[in-house]
Amino acid sequence: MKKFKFTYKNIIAILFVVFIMVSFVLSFITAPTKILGGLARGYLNSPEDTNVLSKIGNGFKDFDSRMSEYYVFHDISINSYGAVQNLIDKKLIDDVDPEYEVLKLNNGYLTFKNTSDEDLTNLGNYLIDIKSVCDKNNINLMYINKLSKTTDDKDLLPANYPYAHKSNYGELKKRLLQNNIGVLDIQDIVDEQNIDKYCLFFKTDHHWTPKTGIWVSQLITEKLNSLYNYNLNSDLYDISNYNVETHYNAFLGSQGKRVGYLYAGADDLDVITPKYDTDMSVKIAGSGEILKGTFEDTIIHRECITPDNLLNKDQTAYDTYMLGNHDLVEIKNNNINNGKRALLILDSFGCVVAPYLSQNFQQLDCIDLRSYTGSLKDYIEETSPDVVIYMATEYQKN
Amino acid sequence: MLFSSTTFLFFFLPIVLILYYTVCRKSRMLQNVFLFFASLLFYAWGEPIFVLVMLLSIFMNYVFGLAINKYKYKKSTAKVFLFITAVFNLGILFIFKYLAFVIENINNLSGADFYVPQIALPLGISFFTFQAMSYVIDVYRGEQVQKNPLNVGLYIAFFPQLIAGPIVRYETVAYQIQCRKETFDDFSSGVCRFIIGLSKKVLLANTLAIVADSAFNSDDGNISVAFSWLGAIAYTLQIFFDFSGYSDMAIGLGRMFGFKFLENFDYPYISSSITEFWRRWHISLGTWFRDYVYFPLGGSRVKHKSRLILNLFIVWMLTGIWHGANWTFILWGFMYFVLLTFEKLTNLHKSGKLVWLRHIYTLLFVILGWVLFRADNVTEAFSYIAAMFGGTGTLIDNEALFLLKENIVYFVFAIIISTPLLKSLYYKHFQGKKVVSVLVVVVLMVLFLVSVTYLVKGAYNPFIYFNF
Repeated sequence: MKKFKFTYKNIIAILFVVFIMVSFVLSFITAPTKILGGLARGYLNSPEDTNVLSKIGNGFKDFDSRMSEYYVFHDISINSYGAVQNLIDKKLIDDVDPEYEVLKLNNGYLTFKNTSDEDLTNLGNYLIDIKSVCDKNNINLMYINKLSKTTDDKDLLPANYPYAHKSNYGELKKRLLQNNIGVLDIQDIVDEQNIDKYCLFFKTDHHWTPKTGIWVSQLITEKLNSLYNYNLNSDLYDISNYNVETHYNAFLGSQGKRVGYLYAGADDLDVITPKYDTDMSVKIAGSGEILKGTFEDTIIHRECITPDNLLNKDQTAYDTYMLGNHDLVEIKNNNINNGKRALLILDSFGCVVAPYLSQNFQQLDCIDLRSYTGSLKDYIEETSPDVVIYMATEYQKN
Repeated sequence: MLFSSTTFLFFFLPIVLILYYTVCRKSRMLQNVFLFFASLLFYAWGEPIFVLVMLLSIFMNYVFGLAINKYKYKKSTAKVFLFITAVFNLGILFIFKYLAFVIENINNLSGADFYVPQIALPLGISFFTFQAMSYVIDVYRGEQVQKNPLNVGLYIAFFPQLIAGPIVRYETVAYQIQCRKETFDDFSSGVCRFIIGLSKKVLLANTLAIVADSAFNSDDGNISVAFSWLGAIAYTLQIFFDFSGYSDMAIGLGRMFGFKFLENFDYPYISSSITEFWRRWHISLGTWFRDYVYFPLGGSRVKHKSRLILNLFIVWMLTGIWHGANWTFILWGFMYFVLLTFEKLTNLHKSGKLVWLRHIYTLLFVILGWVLFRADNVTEAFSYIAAMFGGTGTLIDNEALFLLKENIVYFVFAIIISTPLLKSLYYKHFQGKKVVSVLVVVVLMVLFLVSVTYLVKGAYNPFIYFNF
């Protein structure tokens, strides 16, 4: 019998076979139903008029995406990928969707490449429409221009970075003011106060930090007081009124999850709860769930913080606040008797604003138009809030 | 299914290897049948319905082979079946690949309004159709017919070379179907080859594709000279590493199952003539056209130069058309016809003078040819070429500088690896040295693992063979 020789090729072959076999076995031990379930899911979710063979093809496609997602060494691979990109000093990390390519700025913050031009004309038309509904019902309307991580600052962008993001926000603002819609422009305030806007964001996520959420709540209450003579307590937002519990390196945001924590590190996550007494109820319309109790009981969900599983596919630490996005949330503040009710039109940025803003209202309703299927105009007319605070770029087409 | 996917690496390949080398080890027939059905599953994974097209092709070519074999002593009848084979195979190719293009052009030229069918292209149809024809033609030429339809099926559908070649000639694998010998040394060589191919595809080709696509998909087409050249060079490297990477994986996978396929690429970018380029680039396609079209037409052993030129014209127009249903491919083929005819008539490729200049001439036309190849239409191709020579008036722009800096590591490695420099250094100075062997193990495993991270990340993984 020929004696087996340990040539370098034979060693490579053994290592290769061991690796693919271990990957295969462990992937199907750790997530058999999730991966194999893709076959059934793709088949069953195919449109009704699809033929059987095409449905089978859809099942294969679903299987493929789950195979990558639930591959046993998925997280190690993502983190290693990020490490390699760091090693070769790559600033723009490609993605299957070019809009979600991750860019590392010179200050170490991650942002999305985001080169699609933002046309806010239709949003403007919609807001003017909403204004007429509000005027009919004696309701105030205020638009908030959210701050975003996108920048044209050449000092922050990598050398020769050629991609620009254009927005016609200036025209939107002009139209809103012309139509007597209140505008809170956070970018203006950041510029006036010479604030480094990146301190307001997570490094690895596109959202604001909870501290920023408190600050924005303060800005909103101050603006409402100034525009509409409300008597809201903006001093409430002094950070000394809150307990700040920092979870270090506990959050890898939407940008960070695409490149792993070895590319730009992870973020700390602050869980900020009022020192003062709170008595609230939070109703999530979609699930019908009603949470009652303190701010901690109703707003904070610590189970979302998983520092040992930063690339958690099923949840994000950002969902610690309000469990993330919902179509309609009603927050009642039993310790506030000012009779003030607000409707906040928000997106995911609102998750860290609504909890603190609600401290100044007897009731704060939050609608996310990305998932809300009812008519916003009808809701406004039915519930008759004192003010509609519009902090999103989504709008309803009907 | 793609080789460069987690499904292939961590689901399909482990299962096929396990079953092939355990359950199916009992008999060669069982192994061949298993590989055939595994190959059908591999193909069906992309678009199940097209498996029916491939099965039809297998069945009909099996029947044609039997028929030709039956009439092997009655050449005239055998020739008729050969003709039917060509009509059938080329007919399938025409319907799926060229029908819409032809009707569109008839409409454009004549002003008619014939219905243009929207027919999806079965993956790899150009490859397996040519491979199937190769079987029947080789039987006609005296190769022993395959009585077992599953073996014919295995030859045509074998998953390593099914989607993107190399186009395996039946005569080169006929013996191996029944009588191959799997050894661990061959298996190991196959693994190494596969890893090299995977790295070329995933690390180099896919990354350079981003640069190429940025240049060719530029919104207003007003790109600078630098960016247009960067894009063209990126595409030149992308297509080489994509194609040769896939061939490496195919050859490597074949070897894992005891099959030895012929080489498909031999450092084409070091060529000093277009003639030499086509001896080094997509060798299996070039030799297919040479043996099945060029030589039967008389090749270069014809009385008159005009006949030689005609033969070259036919071969190169067919080569262009084979690559895709677009005027760009036809123009690309025509360009090579002109250059090759020029070289043949002047014996430029045999000259030993001014080698450096001939390298530049070769690379220049190869790159320009790839621009034609990559562009969506002829107008776009010429606009792009104009930009390369200053047509837009801008010499350099930020996008070129940024993308070059971002991908400089990939460009440098790609250029080095597209030459035999490393291979030559290894064989001259380092072969047999233990330290170097250890280093090779480390390097190949690192390349493999890094490739896996790119695949899992879901980085850009374009599929160049869509047209084929």
